[in-house]
Amino acid sequence: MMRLIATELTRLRWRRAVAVLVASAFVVPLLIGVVTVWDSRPFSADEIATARARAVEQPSFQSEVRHCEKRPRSAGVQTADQCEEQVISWFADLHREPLNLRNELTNSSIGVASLVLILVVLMGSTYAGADWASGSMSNQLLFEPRRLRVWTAKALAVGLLAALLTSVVLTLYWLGLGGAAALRDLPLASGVLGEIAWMILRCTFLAIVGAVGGYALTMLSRSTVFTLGAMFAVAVGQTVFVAALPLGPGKERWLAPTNLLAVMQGRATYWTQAPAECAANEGDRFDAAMLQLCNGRALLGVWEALPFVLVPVVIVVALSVWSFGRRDVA
Amino acid sequence: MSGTVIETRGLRKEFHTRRGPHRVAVAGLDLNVPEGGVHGFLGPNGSGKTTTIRMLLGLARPTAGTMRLFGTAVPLGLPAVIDRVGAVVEMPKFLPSFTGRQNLTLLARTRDIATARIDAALDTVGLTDRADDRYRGYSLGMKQRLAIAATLLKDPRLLILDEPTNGLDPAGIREIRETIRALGEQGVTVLLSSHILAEIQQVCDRVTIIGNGRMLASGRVDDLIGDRTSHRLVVPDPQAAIKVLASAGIKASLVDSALRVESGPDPADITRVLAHAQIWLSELSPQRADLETVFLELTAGEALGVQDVDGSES
Repeated sequence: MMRLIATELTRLRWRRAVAVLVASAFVVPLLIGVVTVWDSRPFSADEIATARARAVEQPSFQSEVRHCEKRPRSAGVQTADQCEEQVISWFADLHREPLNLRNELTNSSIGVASLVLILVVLMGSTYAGADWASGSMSNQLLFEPRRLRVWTAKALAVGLLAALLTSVVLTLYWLGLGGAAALRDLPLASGVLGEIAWMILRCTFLAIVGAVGGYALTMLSRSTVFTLGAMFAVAVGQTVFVAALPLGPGKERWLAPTNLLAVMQGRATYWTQAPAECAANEGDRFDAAMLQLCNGRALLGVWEALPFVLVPVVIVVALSVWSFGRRDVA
Repeated sequence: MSGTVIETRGLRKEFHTRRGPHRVAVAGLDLNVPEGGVHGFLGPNGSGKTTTIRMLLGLARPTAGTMRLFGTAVPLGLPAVIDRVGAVVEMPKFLPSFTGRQNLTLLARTRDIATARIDAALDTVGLTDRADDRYRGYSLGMKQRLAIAATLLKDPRLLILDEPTNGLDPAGIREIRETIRALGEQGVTVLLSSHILAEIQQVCDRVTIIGNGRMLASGRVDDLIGDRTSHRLVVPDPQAAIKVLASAGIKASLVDSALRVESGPDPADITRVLAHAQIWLSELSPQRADLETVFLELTAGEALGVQDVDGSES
C-alpha cells in the first residue's frame, strides 16, 4: 500500500495542473499577506506631516476649528486649545488599524484558508479527472487490479498533499504576519498563538475533507467538468433551496458558507429572530451569548457545523468507492 | 502444449442501456487459449473481442460465466496472476502531459519493477531516443510501441494485444508483427485480437473466430483452412456451363465473370464434361482457400455488432 501511495504522490508531483495550483496556493496568500501588512503599517513622520499640511489647507478647516472652539465638548475634546489637533485629525484621515493577529483570525486568514480550500478541491478533482480523461485508469488497473487499494491510495495521496499544503501555507502566512507584528513591536494578545494553531488545524482538516471530496466526486462522475459544475450548481441551488424551505428565522444556519466559516473560524454568527424573553428588556440578567441572541445574532460552533460539512462528503466517498469497485472501466 | 492459459466458460456480457433493451456483447463464449505461440482472436468489429478481453483483465464485469487465467479464477484471483499478464486494450492510454518514460515509471513503481526494466522495454520497442518526449507529441505508431513497452515491464508469460496495428503505417505494422512473432517464439503466449484476416494468418499459429459474441470456430490456422481448394473456370458462356456441370453433379457458381467450383471434383472430370457439351475452357486454375474464405463462410449471416437480449440483431 505504501508503494502505491508513493506512486500516486509522484503522479501528483508530476502533474503540471497540480504544480500550478500549488504555486497559486503560495503566491496568492503571499499577496494577501503583503496587502494586509501594508494596510496596517504605522504612519511615517513624512506621511503625518504631509497629511497635516493638506488638512490645514482645506477651505473649511478654519471654520471647523472656530466651530469647535465655541463648543469643544460637542467636537469630542475637553478644551478649546485641543480643537486644532482634533480638526486636523478629521481632515488628515490618519486612521489606520494597526496589525492585530486576533482580528486577522476572522479577516485575511479566512480569505487565505478559503482560497487554499478551493485550490485543494480543484487539485483533487483535476488529479482524478486526468486519469479518466486520458483513459490511463485502465492502464493502472492492469498493473494493480485491486480497485479499492487504487481508490484508497489516490485518496490518501490527495489528502496528504492537501494537509501538507494547507498547513504549510497557513503556517507561513501566520509567521509572516507575526514577524511583521514583532518588527513593529506590537504586543501579542494572550492566547492568540493557541487560537492560530487551532485555526490551522481546523483548516487543514477541512482541506483534507475538501480535497478527498473533490477527488471522490470526480472518481464517481469520471469528469472534472461535471464535478466543478455540480459543485457550482449545489452552491447556488442550496441557497435557493434553503431560502424556499419553511425553516423560519435563522435559515442562514443551514447554508454551506455559514457552516464552513464556523469550522474555519471556530464559530460563526448568523441572523435569527430574537427570543421572546429579550422583549422583557432585562438585559442586565443575560450573559454575552444571550445578549447576542437578543440582537438577532445566533452562534454556530464547530461541532454543530461539522456534520453539515462531513455528511455530504461521506456519502460521496461511499458512492464513489462503491461505483469504482463495480463499474466497467473504459 | 502443456496447459491452458486462458479459459472461459459460458462467458456473457450484457450492457444496460438507458433506453431500449439490454445489449448482449458476449453470448456464452467458451474460449481456450493453450500455452505458447500466437493465438489469433478474430471477429468482425463489434463481435465482442474487446469486451471479452476487458472482462479477462478485470476492466469489465461479466454478466455470467467463468474465466480462468493460468488456471486461476478471475477477476477474483487477478492480483495473483497480473504480474504474468501484459495487455494493450484498444488504443494506448497514457497521461498526455507526461513523457513516455514518466508514464512507464509510474506503472513500474506500482509493481516495484526495477528502473532497468524500463530502459530495456523502451529499447526493445525502439523508443529510447524519444523516451523523454511528452506522450502527446508521439505519433500513433510510437504510442502503440509505448503501450507494448508497458506490457514488457512485467516480463509477461501472457500478452493480450487488442488490435495492436490499428492506425499504423506499413512499416509500423511490420515492426509490431515481427515483435509479436518474436515474443511467441520466446515462449510467451500471445492472444492477438484483430479483425484483419491477413494479420492473423501471417502471425498466428492458432485462431478462435467469434461472431455476435459466440465462438464460431477454433483451432490451428492450417486445420481451419484445411484442403479447401476451389477451381476458377473461364468459359465463353458461364450460364450454360453452370447447367452442364449441374447435370453432371458438379456445383458451380458465378463469381464476377468466372465460374467457381468448390473442392471435390477432379479437374479432369470438369474438362471432360464441358468438352462433351462443346464448351471450351480458356482457363482452369486451382484457388487455395485462405482464412478470409473460412471467415466469410463462418460469419455468413452473422450481423455485425451486438444483439439485443431477445436475440434480435442491431
